[in-house]
Amino acid sequence: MTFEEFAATRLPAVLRFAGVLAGDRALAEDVVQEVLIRVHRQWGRIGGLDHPEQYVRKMVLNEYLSWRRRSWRMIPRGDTREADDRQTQDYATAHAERDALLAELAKLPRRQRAVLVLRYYQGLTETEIAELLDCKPGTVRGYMSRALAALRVEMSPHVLSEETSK
Amino acid sequence: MRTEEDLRAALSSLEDQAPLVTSVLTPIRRNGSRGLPRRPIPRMRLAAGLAVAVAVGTAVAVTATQSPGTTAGSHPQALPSHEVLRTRVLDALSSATSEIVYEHTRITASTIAGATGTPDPFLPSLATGTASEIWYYPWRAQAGQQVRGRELTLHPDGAAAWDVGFNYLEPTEAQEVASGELTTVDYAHDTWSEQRSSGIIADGDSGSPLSLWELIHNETWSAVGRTELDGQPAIKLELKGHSGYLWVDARTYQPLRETYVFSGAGAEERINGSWRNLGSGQATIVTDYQYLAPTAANLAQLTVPIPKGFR
Repeated sequence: MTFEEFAATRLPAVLRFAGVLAGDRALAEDVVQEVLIRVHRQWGRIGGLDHPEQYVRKMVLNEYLSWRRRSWRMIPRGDTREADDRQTQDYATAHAERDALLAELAKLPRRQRAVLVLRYYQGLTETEIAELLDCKPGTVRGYMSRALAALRVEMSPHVLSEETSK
Repeated sequence: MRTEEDLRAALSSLEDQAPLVTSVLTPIRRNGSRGLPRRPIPRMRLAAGLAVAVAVGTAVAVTATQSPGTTAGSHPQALPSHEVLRTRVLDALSSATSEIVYEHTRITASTIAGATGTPDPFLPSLATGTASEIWYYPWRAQAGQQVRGRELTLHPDGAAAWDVGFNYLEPTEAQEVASGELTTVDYAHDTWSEQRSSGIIADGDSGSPLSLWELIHNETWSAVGRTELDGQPAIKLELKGHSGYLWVDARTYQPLRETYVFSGAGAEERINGSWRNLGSGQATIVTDYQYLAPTAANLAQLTVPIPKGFR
């Protein structure tokens, strides 16, 4: 796969993942730009992988978890405000409850938030999440339990049984 | 108490925070982020210290504007050997190092459904007739040398869509990433911007003359035979693995035309807030090359004009 083909066919899904992970478009852009510069440099190797998008997704995850604002380095974004026809939903009026949930999500520690995104947005298992985060499944369960408790989300019996079976 | 479905729905709603493809690719591509799809980037980096023969002054303006002719027996002389052909094409490219390379790229046949020309993502349009004009000067810069270029993307009706200019100092091999300025004019919204970027990747730009040099150098081609292009003798090369061909002038060995078949399978675009797949299909992309002397008139083409009234 070439970089162009990756950008045309795989990058949009990676960007959606970054947007959900970061919960903030500006931060997601910063994280993805930083990752893509490295991806572009190393494409000879990354492009030869069976699933380069999975590798890039992991790079985005790691970059998000380790992100520190780089005030010394300016990487401007393209001025796409006018080109962006997407409308931000008015959560305050139409989805008050979701708005509250999103606000609480934004306050979670990054690793807890990442675990929730990987579990409930990406649909990964605890084992897969543990491999991505380079930790034990028990640690993932700990992150998830604390995050769900903070958000007052009731875990389904299915998830509970999955946990206890491990 | 909230449910897991509430959480899934909340997380999915954050897809609206996904960056635009154009906003994350602009800083890492000195151009082309809003341009037409290009031939795949050659995998090998240009090795440092390769010999460059510098020929100053003489412009070799070769225009190829008609469809390639068929391979014919009217050019009975044998092809040079692969190695000789390789050397002559590389020498011809190197000799144009001080010139402005002008590329005219257009989509001549597109079967990609749903190619509507929306500005995002990545591909402005895959409709037949979409075109771009690109200028590089110099096409192969030394470290520390000022590099200028421009890419103008045109709708099928000839109206301008995007006009992007770049201006940066060629980085060293160790630096890889250059600092410079990008000027962007968005004709769809009557806006323009100037950005200073320290994130310009200055090598491996697919479709650039430099990448052509790498493609020939890296042996990813084979000679097909002698032919004619716009009435002049040419040699046709097949680009291995790229579904494309390259025609070089049979006398000067400079590239005249390149074709590349772009597959749209899996490409997505976002329309009215919803992602949709463009579906299968292909687009044939044709690029003609010209080599221009850096005269005042030709250099003026490198400047992106800001239309009156744009903000």
